[in-house]
Amino acid sequence: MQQLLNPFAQKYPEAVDSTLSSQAASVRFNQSGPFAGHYLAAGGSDGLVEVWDVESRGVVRVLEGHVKAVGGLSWSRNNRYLLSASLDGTAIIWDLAVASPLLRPHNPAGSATVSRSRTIRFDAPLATAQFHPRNSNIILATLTCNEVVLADLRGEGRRDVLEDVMEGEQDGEGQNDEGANGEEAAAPRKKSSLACAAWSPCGSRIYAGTSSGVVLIIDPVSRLVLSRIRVGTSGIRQLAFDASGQNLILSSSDRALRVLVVNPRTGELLPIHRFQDIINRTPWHAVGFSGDGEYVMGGAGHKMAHNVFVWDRETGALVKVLEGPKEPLVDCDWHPTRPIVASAADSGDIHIWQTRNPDKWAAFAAGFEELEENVEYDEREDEFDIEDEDEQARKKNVAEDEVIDVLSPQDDYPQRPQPLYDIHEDGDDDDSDDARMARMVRAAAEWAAQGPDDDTWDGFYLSLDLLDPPPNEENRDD
Amino acid sequence: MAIQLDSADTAGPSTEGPSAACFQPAATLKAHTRAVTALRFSHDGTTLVSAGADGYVHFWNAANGEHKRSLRAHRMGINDMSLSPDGLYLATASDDGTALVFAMDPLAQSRPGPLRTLTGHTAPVLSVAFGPRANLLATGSYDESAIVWDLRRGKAIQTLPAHAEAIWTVGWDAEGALVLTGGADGLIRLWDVNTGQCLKTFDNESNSPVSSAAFTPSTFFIMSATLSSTIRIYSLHNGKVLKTLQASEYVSEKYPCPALVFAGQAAPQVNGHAEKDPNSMDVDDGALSAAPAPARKTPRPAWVVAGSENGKTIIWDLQERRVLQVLEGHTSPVVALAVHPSGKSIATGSLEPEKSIKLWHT
Repeated sequence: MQQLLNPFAQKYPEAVDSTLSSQAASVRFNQSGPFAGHYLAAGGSDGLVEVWDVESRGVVRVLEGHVKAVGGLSWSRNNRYLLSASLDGTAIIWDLAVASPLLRPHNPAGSATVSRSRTIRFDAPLATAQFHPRNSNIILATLTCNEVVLADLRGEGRRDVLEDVMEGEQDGEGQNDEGANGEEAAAPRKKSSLACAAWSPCGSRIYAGTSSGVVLIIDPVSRLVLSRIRVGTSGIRQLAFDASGQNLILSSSDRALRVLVVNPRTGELLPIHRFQDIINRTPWHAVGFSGDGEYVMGGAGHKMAHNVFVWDRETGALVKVLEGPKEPLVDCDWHPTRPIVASAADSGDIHIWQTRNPDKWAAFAAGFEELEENVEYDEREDEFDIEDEDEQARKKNVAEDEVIDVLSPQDDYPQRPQPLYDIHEDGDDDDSDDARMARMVRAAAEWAAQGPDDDTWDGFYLSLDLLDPPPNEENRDD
Repeated sequence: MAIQLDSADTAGPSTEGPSAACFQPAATLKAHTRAVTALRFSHDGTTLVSAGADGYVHFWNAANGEHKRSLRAHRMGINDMSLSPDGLYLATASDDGTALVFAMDPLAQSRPGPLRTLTGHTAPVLSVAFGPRANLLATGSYDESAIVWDLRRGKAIQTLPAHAEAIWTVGWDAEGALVLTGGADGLIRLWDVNTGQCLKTFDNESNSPVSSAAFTPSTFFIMSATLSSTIRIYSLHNGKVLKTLQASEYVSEKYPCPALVFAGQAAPQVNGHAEKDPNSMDVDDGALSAAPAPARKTPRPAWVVAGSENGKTIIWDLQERRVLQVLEGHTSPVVALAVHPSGKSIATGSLEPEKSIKLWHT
């Protein structure tokens, strides 16, 4: 909305606007829905998960359950559920719908007053965990022992450890068939482990990075690798998509960030940029895109500085280094719609970075417009002519006959992208790669649509519990 | 506390030509001892809430007008009231300079008194509005300022100081990023909630005081009613007036009478007429008309309803700027107004000496 009113506003943040006092080890804005970016989830180094209200800079939920640091957070598509992954080896799905048993918020999508939080245990500490973008009953978890687990909580539940196995290959003895699998795997392949993984934003594929620098595209239904793409020789530590799913960023152990373009139909990757801090050889603790995908963000892992690098995705130029207090950065996230970045420091504080908007004095007077530079004004020929009143009224009447739609609410808020699978539906070359891929994506979409969750109302927001008196810190001021 | 059920033919509505607007008087609700100043339907549509200059809030059954319960909210008069979108809370703005927040569900009210007391204004609070996520609340006051409150802490987070006269109306956009204020100085201002900056100002040619202003359901437009008996729709982007509504029955020169826009009922006869498009006469419609007709859903027309100082309530079709119906029955100015979420009921409340609420159903 603000961008609509001021189209020339700067699109990346400049300075720390405020600091939230917390114990955060990870931060994540809610990504979609009409209230995208209005909440910030913070996973604590002490295991406490907090949900902050970005506007009021206050904690709206404190979620107790983990006993060790929480490193991964994920919001369900309409923000009703929050997933947290902890080093204590559990992932917890939190239901944010109910604040207090006495309060039953009105929900137009149906009544759901039973809290449906649940805990999922794993065999090893968790690095991150992600909801399927369209169904919060499917979870992709990355364990610190370099294992990626796909947990399907529907029905009886099913868990699969994802491995680097293609269709037709036998588990463990794939080397014999290597020659058929294209150039990147032509050399004798040593078994590499999956170090990180993410859903494509439409939810039809899983992208996993291995410890040997290969990106695997995995079909979530068959759990088989569709293709392998070698992007380097050093291990991939982190990968992240932009909101549209058209760009992917990889952070590798060679301290380089690589931006790749994703083919929307086949899901194949094409590298476009490689960023590196050559002087300091900075390792990266967090990577991501701006909400509109125009900028690339890298949270630097310096020991003595708190820096977020911002590059232009199109040109690859460094546009800004956000320099903060002298405490190391552990995680950062970009707001889905605004030029706001949240970064968590080693101390647990969360810094909110914003642009500084100069006061627009012209806004106080109706009909005023601020100009960038002097403009020679040419008056129209008839500008000061006295017009006939009847004629004026007639013109106004005609102008007011224009059809306007005042009742349709805006739906231009961030939404999860739809899976693309109808392109080659009735094409005659049924065996082409595109058609095969479309069938796979459709199967994945149908698979994800089964057993839907309760997160169906897109206008969901977290109701406040005002039955509690105002927090103590404030009472002391009185 | 008396309910007097009106029979449909005693106060027959005067319709102008064929229209789908045919609200009939259903009940007259009397409980307030002074003027009725604000009316709201709960978001689930079951309850009508009224607030009055006597400091009381009354809860009524929205269908039949039965009195449910009452709440003595303030010792002084209540000027405005807002219900949170999740249906949990109720906020009142009072002449005593405070805004109070109560729980809607009496069972949730564990301790007596309001859940939050918002003090900061130095003069009567004239308007109050919950943000769309009910985490923030905006109030406008006779002290010429508007305040945005953080409800959890019960503290002001933004004070918006720039009107030259009392602020009569406050409102929010659908995302909760913008606050709108309208005042007796004839201006409507838009504010960025996050920074407290003024983003835009709208005026009207006669500089008449703005008695009510709000975003329409589409955030591209703002609707305002001014004390020149005129309702306007502004475009948010260029500030242009796109629609002007006036009517001989509509008088608002002295008392701020509210105006609301809502989704009306599509007229069945208009619907049938539209399908017989004169341009498609030549087409053999034996095969064509069967398929598309049931699939096409007529969009609901936008209707505007406003109270008037002569006791009437006027309903317009916004697109055609045509009066659809005039509801007659009140004998005092209609200064409180609410439309049921379904668009099928209207509640109106009047000033002294009548001080009654009327419920109209279709």
